Amino acid sequence: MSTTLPLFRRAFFDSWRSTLGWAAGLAAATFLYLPLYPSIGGSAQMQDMIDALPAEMTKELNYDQIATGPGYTQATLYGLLGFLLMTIASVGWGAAAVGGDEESGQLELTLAHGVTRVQVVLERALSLFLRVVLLAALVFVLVRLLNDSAQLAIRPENLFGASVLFATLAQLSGTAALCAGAMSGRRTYVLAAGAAVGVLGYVFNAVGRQSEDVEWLLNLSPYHWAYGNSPVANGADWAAAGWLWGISAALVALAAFAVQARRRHVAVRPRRRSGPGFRGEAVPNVGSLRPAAGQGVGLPPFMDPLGQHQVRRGLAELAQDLLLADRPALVDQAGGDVGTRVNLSVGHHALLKVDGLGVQADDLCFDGVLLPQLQRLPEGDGLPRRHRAPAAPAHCLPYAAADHQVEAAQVHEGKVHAVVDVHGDVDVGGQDAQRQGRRLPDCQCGAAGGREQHQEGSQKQVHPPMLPISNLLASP
Amino acid sequence: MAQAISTRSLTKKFVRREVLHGVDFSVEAGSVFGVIGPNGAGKTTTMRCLLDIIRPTSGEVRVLGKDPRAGGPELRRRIGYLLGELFLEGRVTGRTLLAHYQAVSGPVAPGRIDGLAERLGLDLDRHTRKLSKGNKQKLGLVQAFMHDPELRVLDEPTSGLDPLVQQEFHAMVREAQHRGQTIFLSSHVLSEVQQTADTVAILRDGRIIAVESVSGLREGAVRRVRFTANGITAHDAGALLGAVPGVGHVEVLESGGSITLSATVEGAIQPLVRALGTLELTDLVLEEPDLEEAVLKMYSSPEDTVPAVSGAAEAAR
Repeated sequence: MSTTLPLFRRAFFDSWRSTLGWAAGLAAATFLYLPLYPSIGGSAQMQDMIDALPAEMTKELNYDQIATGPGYTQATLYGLLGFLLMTIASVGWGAAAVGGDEESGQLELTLAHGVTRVQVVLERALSLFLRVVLLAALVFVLVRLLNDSAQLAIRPENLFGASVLFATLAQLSGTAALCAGAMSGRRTYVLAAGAAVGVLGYVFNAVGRQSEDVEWLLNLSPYHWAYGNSPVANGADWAAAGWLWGISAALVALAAFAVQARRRHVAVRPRRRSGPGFRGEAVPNVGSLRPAAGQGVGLPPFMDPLGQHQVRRGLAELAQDLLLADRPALVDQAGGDVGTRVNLSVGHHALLKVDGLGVQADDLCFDGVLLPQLQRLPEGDGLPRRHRAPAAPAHCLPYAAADHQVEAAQVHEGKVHAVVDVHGDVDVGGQDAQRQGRRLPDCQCGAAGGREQHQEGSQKQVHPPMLPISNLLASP
Repeated sequence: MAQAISTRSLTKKFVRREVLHGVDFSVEAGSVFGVIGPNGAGKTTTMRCLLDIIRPTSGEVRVLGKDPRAGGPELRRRIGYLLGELFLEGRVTGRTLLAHYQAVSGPVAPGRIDGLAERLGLDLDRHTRKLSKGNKQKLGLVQAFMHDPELRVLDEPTSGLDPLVQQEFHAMVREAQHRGQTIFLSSHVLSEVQQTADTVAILRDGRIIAVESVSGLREGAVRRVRFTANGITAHDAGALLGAVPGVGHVEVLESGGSITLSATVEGAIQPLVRALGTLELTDLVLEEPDLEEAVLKMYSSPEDTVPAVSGAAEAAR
């Protein structure tokens, strides 16, 4: 079964809420402005007030033509509020068509199905076109309805021409957004492009009308191309309409070409890099323990072959070892100050606490459970997997995945055994060269200051606060 | 046998880094082929290349005999693709969404969608953006399976599914295989691949480092053996087991005239069984091989697999 234009249908019908919303907005704007004409635009009092305003201001707001029905409609509805609403709607739809869909990751699924990239662009452009035309048609109908009661005296053919230009102008912003989206795949650029066409067009028109010196700006303003001769009053400049349609069509063609030609990737959601503590900013002191090349790892690091119970016991012994062998070193590192604390922890779990001259390792619950879990942290995207649920605290994740510190793959491959937070104000680094070789020169640990210390060839190679777990397991 | 997928020197370079450095593999038609590898190994990129979502920098890809880029929509209609991460934000129900993809990717047997949804326990009338991760995954599975494509490319298909649904998924894969369809799936975890796949490829750092049949992995895998025996000293038992090829990590515990020994066995188990035959056993456990371990050996780089250096252990003393 194949339906004609499935992508168009989806883009068109799935957005009915938004279409309806904008239609309501435009209708409200129409009903707000036009019935007021007899009491505002047409009254002598109002004319006096407008005359009293600075000429620049009336020109900027197009209020110089406000005294006639068509001029009033042109200035208020087609030229200002209606223009604004239509442009926003069109840019929003144009942005969503390709760029937004790509950024949200939904385009990938669509492109994996039986469609071509060009087809996606064209059908969605068609849907954009049709929705904009629909809104313009609505405004046309409403103005026609109000024409008599509001004493606007707009000639139908002029109103039709103005409505076409109204749609055309909005269309241009929308296709600009669509095109930027197709080229970049980023919503931000897309909105910028669409808004630039709309807003700059308006501004250039407003400024360009102020004096002859800046009149050239008018030539750059799509707004002026469309509305320069006040189409509601004087009829449409069909050549301008043709030009504007032509540019829109060219933008769509460019979008189709861009999407087809993009080698990089279309539809692939950009990876967001954010989160608490990312890049070591929120928790500045981070180190990693890694066995050096050639150092023995008896068993693959994920495994816990002896069962957690035995690992637990093993780590208790390890802690004892550390207490006996490392106390002087740790105290030395701590600067020998009584009361200085060194806390080595994985996430919230303390691995080792050095409190002044007394060294404690009172929290042995970290062992066995934490290490394998931490080693299973490699999910760069932070998603829990069935067997590899990264149960360690969330703020560990960015480190495990951060490029400049520990690559996810390194954790996977067992090059990194743990990521250790070093809290506190103590520099655990800065070990002298002799001690470096004394025990497990294969581990490095960064501290206080975080990032800088993890650069290649860092001098912060220190003795480890902890042994790789697999060493212990390999020596019964 | 015809090949459903083949790649030759597939390379993909993004602006800053190269993700695939020459991936070569082929998937025979009618087989279930699993790719496992750590995050960032290039599994998803490879899959995207197969569907022309990403275009390779160099190398050759053939999917169902065609270049994905030239094959266009006709080729993609013959493929069912499940994304690694499914983003569904629109205010549409699952049913509407599937109807859309049905319109795009062509004929779906009547009742097929409802049948699949029922099997997986998915409510099609809920708005997609309100679905949980698991339910989104189910929706993704339905859209990849509904048009009965010749080839299914499934990126981490069981992620987020509960064990029962995973079983159902495995059944669906087997059924598709019986119909002669090809399945190419990826995972982090071997255990879910080994249940369905015939062949497993291990991708690491943008390269295929090994392609093994699951049965081959099983042969090469490490088992654990544990037994209790009477009438033998710990020393003799250790010596006996130590002489058996493939046995390692022997640990013996002697208590009250009997010994308990545990060890690992690699490769054939016949020699071990023969050695055990000479003993007076009171208990014997020979575990199923852990393929994960066999694969992890391949994951880890060569220096990591060198046996423990005793120096490191000594240093710990």
